[in-house]
Amino acid sequence: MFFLRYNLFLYCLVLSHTMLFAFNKDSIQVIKPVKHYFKTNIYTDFYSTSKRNLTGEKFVSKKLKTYKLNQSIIGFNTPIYTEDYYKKDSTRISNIHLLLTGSYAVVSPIFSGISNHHLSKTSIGVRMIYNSGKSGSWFLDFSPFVTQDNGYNFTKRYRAAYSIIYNYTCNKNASIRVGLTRTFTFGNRFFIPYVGLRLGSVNGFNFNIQFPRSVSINFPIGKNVRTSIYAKPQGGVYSFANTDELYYLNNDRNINFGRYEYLLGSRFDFNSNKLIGFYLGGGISSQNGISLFSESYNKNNNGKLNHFYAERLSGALFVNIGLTLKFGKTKSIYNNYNLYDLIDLNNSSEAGDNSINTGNSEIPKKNPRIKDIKLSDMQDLIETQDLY
Amino acid sequence: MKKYSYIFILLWIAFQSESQTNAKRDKIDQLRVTFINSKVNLSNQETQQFWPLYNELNDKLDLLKKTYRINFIKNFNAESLTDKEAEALLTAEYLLKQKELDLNKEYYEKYKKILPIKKIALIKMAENDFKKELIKTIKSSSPE
Repeated sequence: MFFLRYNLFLYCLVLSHTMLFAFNKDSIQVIKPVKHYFKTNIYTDFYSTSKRNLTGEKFVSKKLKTYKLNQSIIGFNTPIYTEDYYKKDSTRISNIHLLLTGSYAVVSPIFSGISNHHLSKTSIGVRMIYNSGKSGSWFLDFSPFVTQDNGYNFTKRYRAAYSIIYNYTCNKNASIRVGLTRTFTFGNRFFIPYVGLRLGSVNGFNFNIQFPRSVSINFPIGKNVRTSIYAKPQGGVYSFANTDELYYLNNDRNINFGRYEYLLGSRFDFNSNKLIGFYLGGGISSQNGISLFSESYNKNNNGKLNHFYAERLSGALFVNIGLTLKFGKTKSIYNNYNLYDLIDLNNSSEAGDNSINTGNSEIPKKNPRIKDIKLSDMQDLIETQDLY
Repeated sequence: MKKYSYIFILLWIAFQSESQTNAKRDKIDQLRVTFINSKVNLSNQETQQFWPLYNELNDKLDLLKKTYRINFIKNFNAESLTDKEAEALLTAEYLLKQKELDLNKEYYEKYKKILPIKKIALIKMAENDFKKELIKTIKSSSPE
């Protein structure tokens, strides 16, 4: 980086000392070299399930009556620091990336028996990615968040999710991931291992198993659409104001609401260009579960939370819609499979433990075709002698 | 709701126009890389080392050309060009060529450490073949 800047400086210096005065402009305009490999990513995601009856025999179940869920998320991740290092005779480039992440999610569990609650989760986190330039890379994500039942300030609670993942890119058609993750995705607090295997290229057809995040088959359809058939868990633990007296022991003003669902569905990602992505998914939300946790009862509990109410629900249909904007000029990553994997990991690990995937539109497509290219687009590439 | 729709439409237009500017160059880069990859058989280790270096070199060359284009080509007016301006333009162009040559040499030395010399030659030949392919495409798509 230093050498490039130095070279540019020299280049401009020579010009300014020789012929600059000949121009109308006062100075040479220097274009700053691109710093990052990751684009800034802003996304929004909406998820909704249909209504179901709660059929449990407990008092809480009878009081809540029915259950339906809406979830809206807006979030971002942006690179804030990138450094390249040369290794082994200055031929191996390794790099460190630091990203800032953030998200705001509103989860609205709609129970017909009680008033509506809008449970928010706000997260600001950091993510560090190290690409060794060989086959291995590290991904560290720390995502502290605050949950609150909107309108009830006393329900504000601080929590954190984090992941440490080692990614090994065997070749362009396979990668392995192992690690540890602290997650609330299963409707409770868990600290579990992360195990992943991808077979097939990231930008082509692939089978991808990433426990505990998802199992999916992904393939492109035509030029601008990617499809995936997937199964994944989704959920969280949120603050819930006890205004409806769902828990009457210990005078808890705040209780915690946990929910999880296993989604079986398909999704279509539309990427007409690298900047805008739109996805539409749907399927069956099966194995749903909801729980309520007393705060006072779990006061000294640092592990899995103990519930005072839990119920398994029948499956429901769901829809999932999302829009992603990816912008910022980045360094070229063509055929850099380590970075393809890291970009995939970054896009599938969204801030605030929300388990959404913003799609890999910035990874170059496989086998592009020469079409609609004009002479003006390639004038720099061709010398007169090439035409002989 | 109407307000959000307007914001969305404006954002969409802004993103579309920005994307179109860079899309074609990105497409050519991508095509070139795919073309070279199909012509030269690199091992796993070679792939891991070669492509980051190749991308880095092309990013640097791109930056040089962009700097030249913004500062000279866009200021160039053939009709009102003075002698001093003409000389500046030519000097800048030779400096650009020299810089490109230096960079290419520097990376050639790096490639030699990670690839057999024959593969480096094949890559260079594939780059030239790619240019020919592009010319063919333009010839076939342009009206007689």
